[in-house]
Amino acid sequence: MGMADGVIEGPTFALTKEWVDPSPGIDLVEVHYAWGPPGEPPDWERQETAVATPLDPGPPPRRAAALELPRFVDGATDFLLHSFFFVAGAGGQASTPVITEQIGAREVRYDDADNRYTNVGVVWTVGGSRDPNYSVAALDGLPFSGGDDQAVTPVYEFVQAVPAPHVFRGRVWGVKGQPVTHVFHLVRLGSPAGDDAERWDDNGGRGWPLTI
Amino acid sequence: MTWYLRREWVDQEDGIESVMIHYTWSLPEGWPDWERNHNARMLVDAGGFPRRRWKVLRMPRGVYDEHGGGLSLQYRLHFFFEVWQHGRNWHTDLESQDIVYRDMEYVDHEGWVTHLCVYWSVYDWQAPVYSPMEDPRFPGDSEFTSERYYAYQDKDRYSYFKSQLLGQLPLPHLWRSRIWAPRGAPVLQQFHVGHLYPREETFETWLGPDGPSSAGGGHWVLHL
Repeated sequence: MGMADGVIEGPTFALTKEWVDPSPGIDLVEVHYAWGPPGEPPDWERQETAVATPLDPGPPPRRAAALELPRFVDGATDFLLHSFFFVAGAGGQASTPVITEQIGAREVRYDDADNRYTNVGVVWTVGGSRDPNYSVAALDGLPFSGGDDQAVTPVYEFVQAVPAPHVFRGRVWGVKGQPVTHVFHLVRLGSPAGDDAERWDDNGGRGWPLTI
Repeated sequence: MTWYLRREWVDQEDGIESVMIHYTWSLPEGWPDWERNHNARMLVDAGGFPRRRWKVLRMPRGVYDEHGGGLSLQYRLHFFFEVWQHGRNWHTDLESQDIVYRDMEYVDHEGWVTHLCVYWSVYDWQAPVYSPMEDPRFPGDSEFTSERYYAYQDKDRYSYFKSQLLGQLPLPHLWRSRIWAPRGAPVLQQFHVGHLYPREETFETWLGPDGPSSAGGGHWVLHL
């Protein structure tokens, strides 16, 4: 087994950048981005890129690119995202000015008053993105509730051993001051009574909004 | 820079709530070690009937051989889907694909080209990659490498110096870059060719097997 070169180690999340063509004839739009700790300028030697693909033909055409970002930079959930668009066509090539945004996380909480669920996940999208992200919510009092990049783990007996009431806490990431929509993925798994279940707490399909 | 691979799922039964793809990499011929490296992504629900779901995966340039073999540009992608259906979850069988690469070359006999990229995408144009090309003789520590073009705000200045430095290289200019794909998968490919200095001669085009085209237009289909 080897470590991979050029991909982020550890869990990530998707953040979509949208672009609207300001004039006809644009051939290519590509997002260039880099992240780093607060207070440090962007290191474009370590940039990543994502071509923005058409969302709809317009007019004017809209394009979107999903950026993949780490959830932690130097162990912290707060960091900076620097990005710009490179645009080719319509008679030239240009890069837009660099935009710097603050990335942060917020805790979300699910209270399982009936001690019904063994695993709780948080599915969330940043802004108007369609790309969902998944976080595992940890049960207070149970230190090994699973990692964000693991399949759901059977922990029924361990969950029953945790005194009630059960509180699950997860985190969502996004751009500070901007919206994130989340839903809870509620799972009862491994019950000896055979009453395993899965349901979504999604605010009637609208999701639960919050601001990072 | 990395590359992208789109993975799709089509619901074959009713009652599927969500699908996640779990994936990892190993050296060629290797087996997955989920304890060491385990990535999971929830698929985007694209709707329709049957319902389609997809995710674009960011893929590595290679995998390190920790037993002294350095970076292996060929590797293996291992993945399975976790499906939530009717309140229960089940997994598909593990699938593995060999990831292979090809070094692309564009030969410029006249020294006319100042900017060149490979525009390519695996399977279709839904996960394209725009890879800058460079003549390997071009100094890597120059501020005018192809990779540095995009963050360089004064594009006219960049293009002037790039053309001057290229002019010092003996012809032909051998522009190179690298692409990856699952073995045997179709790769759609064009060259984005630019002559951006002097300004009054500025010209760029997307080159396919039938000559100049548009981005995503006429393209070669490669199988690595």
